[in-house]
Amino acid sequence: MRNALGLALAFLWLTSDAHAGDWRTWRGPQYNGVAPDRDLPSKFSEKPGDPNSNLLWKVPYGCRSTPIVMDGRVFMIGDVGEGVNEQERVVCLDADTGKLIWEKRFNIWLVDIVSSRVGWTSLAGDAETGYIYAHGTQGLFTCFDKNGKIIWQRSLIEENGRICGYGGRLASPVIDGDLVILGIVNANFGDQARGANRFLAVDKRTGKTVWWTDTGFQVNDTYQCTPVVGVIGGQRLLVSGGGDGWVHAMKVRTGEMVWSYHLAEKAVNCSPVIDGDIVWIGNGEENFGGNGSQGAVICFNGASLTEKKDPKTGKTWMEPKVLWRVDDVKVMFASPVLKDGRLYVAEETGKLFCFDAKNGTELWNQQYGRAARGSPVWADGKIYITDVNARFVVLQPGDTDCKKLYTHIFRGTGGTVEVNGTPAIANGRIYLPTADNLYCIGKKDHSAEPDKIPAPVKEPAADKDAKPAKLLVYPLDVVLHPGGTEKLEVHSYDDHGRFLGKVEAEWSLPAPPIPPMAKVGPPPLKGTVEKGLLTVDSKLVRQMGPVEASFGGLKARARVRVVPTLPYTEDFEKVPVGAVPGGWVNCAGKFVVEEKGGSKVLRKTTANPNPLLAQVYSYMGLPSYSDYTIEADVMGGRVGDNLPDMGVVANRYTLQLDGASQTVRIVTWDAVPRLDKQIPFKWKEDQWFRFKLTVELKDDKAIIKGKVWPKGTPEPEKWTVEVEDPKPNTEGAPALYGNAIGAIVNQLTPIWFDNIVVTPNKK
Amino acid sequence: MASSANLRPLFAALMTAVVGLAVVGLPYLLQSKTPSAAPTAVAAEPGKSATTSAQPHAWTMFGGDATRNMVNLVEKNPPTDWSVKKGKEKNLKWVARLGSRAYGGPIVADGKVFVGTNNDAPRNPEIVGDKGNLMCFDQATGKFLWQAVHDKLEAGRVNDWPKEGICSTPTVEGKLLYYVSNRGEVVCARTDGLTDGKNEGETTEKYKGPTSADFIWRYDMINTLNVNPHNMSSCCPLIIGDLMYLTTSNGVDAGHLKLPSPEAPSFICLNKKTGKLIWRSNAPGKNIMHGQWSNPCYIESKERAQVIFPGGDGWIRSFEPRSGEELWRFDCNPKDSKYDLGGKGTRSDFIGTPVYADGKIYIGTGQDPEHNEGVGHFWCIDPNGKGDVSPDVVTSAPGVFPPKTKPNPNSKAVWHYGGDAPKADADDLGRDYLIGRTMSTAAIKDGIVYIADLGGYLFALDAKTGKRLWWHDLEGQVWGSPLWVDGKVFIGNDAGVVHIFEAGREKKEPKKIVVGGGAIRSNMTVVDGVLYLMSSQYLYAIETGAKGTIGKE
Repeated sequence: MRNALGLALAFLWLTSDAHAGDWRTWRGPQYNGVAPDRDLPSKFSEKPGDPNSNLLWKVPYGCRSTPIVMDGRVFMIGDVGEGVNEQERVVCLDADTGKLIWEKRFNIWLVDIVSSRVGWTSLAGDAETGYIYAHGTQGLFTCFDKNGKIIWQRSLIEENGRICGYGGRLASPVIDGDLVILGIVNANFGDQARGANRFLAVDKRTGKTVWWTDTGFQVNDTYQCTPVVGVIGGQRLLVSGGGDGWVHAMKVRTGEMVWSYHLAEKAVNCSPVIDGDIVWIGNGEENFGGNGSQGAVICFNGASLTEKKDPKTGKTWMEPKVLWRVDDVKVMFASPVLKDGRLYVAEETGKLFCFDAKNGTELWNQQYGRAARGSPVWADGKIYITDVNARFVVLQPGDTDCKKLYTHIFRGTGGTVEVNGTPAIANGRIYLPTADNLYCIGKKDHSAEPDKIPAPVKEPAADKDAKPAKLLVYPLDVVLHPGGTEKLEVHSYDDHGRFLGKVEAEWSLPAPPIPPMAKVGPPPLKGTVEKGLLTVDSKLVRQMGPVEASFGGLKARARVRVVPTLPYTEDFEKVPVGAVPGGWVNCAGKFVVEEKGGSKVLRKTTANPNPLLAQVYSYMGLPSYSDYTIEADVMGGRVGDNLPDMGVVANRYTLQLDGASQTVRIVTWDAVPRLDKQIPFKWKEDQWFRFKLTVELKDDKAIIKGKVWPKGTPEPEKWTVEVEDPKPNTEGAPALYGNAIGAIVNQLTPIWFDNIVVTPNKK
Repeated sequence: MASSANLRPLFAALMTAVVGLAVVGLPYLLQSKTPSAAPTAVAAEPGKSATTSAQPHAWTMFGGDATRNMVNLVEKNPPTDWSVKKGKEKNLKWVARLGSRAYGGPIVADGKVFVGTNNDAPRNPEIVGDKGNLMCFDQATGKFLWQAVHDKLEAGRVNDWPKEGICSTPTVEGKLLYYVSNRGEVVCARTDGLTDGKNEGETTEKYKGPTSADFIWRYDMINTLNVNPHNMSSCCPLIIGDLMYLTTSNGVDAGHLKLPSPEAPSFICLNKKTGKLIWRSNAPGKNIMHGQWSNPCYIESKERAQVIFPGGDGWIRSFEPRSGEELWRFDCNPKDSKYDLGGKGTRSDFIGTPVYADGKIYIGTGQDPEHNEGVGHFWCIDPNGKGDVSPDVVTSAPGVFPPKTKPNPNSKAVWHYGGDAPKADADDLGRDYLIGRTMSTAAIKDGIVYIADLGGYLFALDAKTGKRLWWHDLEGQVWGSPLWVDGKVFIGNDAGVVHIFEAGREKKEPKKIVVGGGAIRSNMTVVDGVLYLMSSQYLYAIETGAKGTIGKE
């Protein structure tokens, strides 16, 4: 990471005026849903030839989030194509004309999210580098340059066990200084084996991990909140609602938790707004400790903190002072707007509330639609807001009431045109997305100067001689092959989380934490670390563990994962009973090694019917692996009427035996499914089958071939099932798939795996 | 955590509930042609429900009687003016605190009011956390009497969505009530709970305090039938004689594409006295699109008695009540429709319940509200058919889409309202389709069908022809059903507003009462001059002249 983050940051803020007219984050230049633009229309029409239509252009690019506008270009993420051709795409359009400048399409795989929920994140644009950041439905975390070139990309599902249910709630990235930060729910290995709401900060130029923070509380739900960064109490903090129902503030450069507040029993989905030390946010479902009240708007002083303790667990945290709160206003997905001392909040049922931001007095409320999804945006004395059911509404907020100026209903494509997104406003234009189109609305002869954007609160500079209060090992995530090396650095930060410099630390390889429920933990990483140069053992084909740096009484750790090279064979004989293979992603708690028939095998766990534990993929290789064949012995067990689904994965295609339908399938993105070839295949419990799956890439297509035969019988010559994919997955981590069926605790169908072989295909 | 709808999860709900007062006058409905071998008087004689003869003034099941028609023929002069705002109370008899959401009921019988809710305002300080609660209140005072508490299913939202509580509206006969818990159990319990200290029937209740439930028997559809309820088990039981009919809520898994239990029944018949299975049907089979949250209704047409089941495949089916033999089936969606999650999907299943009135069946298609508004279809069907009585039949090979069709010579469609809107209507409604997806059950009276859609439009249709008489924009989404009482039509919405219309072929501007305190998503009922109205957290008893006030509740 480059030097002085603090300085870079300050620079960034100072230069933001140079980009006036940009809308680089989904909540606008001040992260509060306010646009400085003047002379905006209060209605528009789609009628061809209407001279007063205020519709500058309309292009067939849909989106369920918010476009960003940067440097004369509009960027969005959305879905494209139908059937086997359905994908997610990032598009770049000319902000003046809507003309397509570039488009990148990505496949979707290994995720529960359905078509209509694809692309439910917003992009983030960086003024300094011109880079665009995307969190994709399939877990790709991607950095593009302004011309669409991919600068770096991470696969959060295959490498970090990111979780998302079919609802598609995902958070969007936020940029601060040299960091891009993303909140996710995930379960992985080592100290991330437990499913939790975690925040990941990466270097915006390289994608390498700077910090991870686990909020430390029980996660309830996937969630949608995109964080906001501000200077609160002299510290630069990232504030976010979480899937754990809490609101958290953490030091933005180190991820150290500063304060937390337990607001919701489920998740907090809307974004906060920050003004100085004051933070406003809402909740849309049951309030924590709220005696059954649903929904709240709350206002904190984020600089006035009290220590709290959970009497049951002994866990302590700092809690911000609540200045006011109003219950029974369901603030679900729509985020608040803060403007001139008023807080505008859209309730889930399509009602806009106006509160005195200081004391929470309700000034008025106005029903504007039926169902809120997108957030209000304040501009030119008006509020622009969408209703998910095909409506775009323009309101005029007053002191004591609110006037409805205009309601536009999108029609003409059959069914309901969903409008999940929020308008972006830049350079006198309103960029309004529906599921089908992007509308650019504005006055043709617009020339009004925008209001001046107030300068944000400045963060005091760090004293470079201050005593370090926090260390971080960089990079914090290290992925190596056997015998590989990585040069690690240690960065020090002061007690406000401001970067001080690099330090020379003492290094060690401590034992990983003991997993929950286990008696014995995994061994330390086998290898050496000298002056930050880590070299992992060349004979151990896979392992994981921490590297620890010590300096001045402080400690910091990196997470190291050693991934097998191909060919890779795994018979589990070296894995202790009760453990999982070291370095496999999303394996702990979902699979376990046991003795069976005189040999060790990997068994899918059968205790918990929660789909997050019952239906899982565990990844053993890198997402970049391609052109290989995976084989495995797999056996299912019956419970009552149920048989499991079980299989192996190559290049993000799953070859599986399906219990209920008695078929053998090749499938990818099975929530849709984009590609799904099924052949009747009678199979029974307690019979080992040999699986073989290979993916050949040829002429822009993938040919996926699978075989399944009873173990111990000769391998059939012919492939059992074969399918061609015109939109090929060109790479992907080898993995096992297990779906233990059943709704009752401890009565799920078991699955066993053994003798896995992953081999490169012969040229 | 699968989300949800994700979204917003939940949805689901649906539920439903509703209410109505019995009494739909169909005297022939229940006289002797009940299916049980020894017919007890059944569900509905005019003015009373069969087994509550000691309590003639009651509303004992979803829809008031087995026809499920949302009309109340007994009550006169229901309250049409009230306020439940603290300090401005008007005509408030009492208020009772519920959990944070309440979709089951209210049912009024045996001097008590029964509501399905959750445990977010715990009635028993020793029972905390998310639960499904069936609460019982004193009808006269609103005093809490007892509750049945059901733990959440460990599988989480895929089978038992957090916080949705009990979504089933119970059915009461005499001193017994029947409902479906959030754990997929059909429950028979005493209306007195354990308040009298007598534990009858099964004695394995988890909670046994004086404010706990007394279960007589429970039938676990998950354990016994391998049912995989999608998001929630919600059925409102239908009892005819000794037999009880239920939809099982069997549906898809968390990924929404796989149906884990295609062999599990969608419709079942139990012996109400023993909880033993009499017959089962998985007729929708692998064509279930999502879940199954609607309810059966019972008819005695001129030819025969039938139980009508709405299926998760968008078809409704008629069964011979005793044998479970399928009599006819009807596809409520166009053949070229397609199920897609979201507002553009054109094929739907059912949230609303079929209604039997004037010899015809009336039902609209709908979906989980989490899937948003979208095109719907409302049907009037002649129940005297056999086999496939859909409007059209497919002539092309399976798998061809869109399929080729021809009109069905055996069609029993009487009329249809819905689908694409003519331009003038589209401009008026502001959308391209007529009725949208609905969660409502119809009220049919004096030749007029009153039905609302999720998008918040109330339609009045001619019951004979399907011609639209009028519509009204309620300015908020609608989950519940209209209720006809003494020439008035009541309906609540998500904006927390109750609209009260003058029934009739001409539209008159409705009276609007802002209830406040969040969405009104369940149905209302009137019993003995008292209107029972539920918001998500409160049950209000409204009575003209009452002087109650909002206390600490």
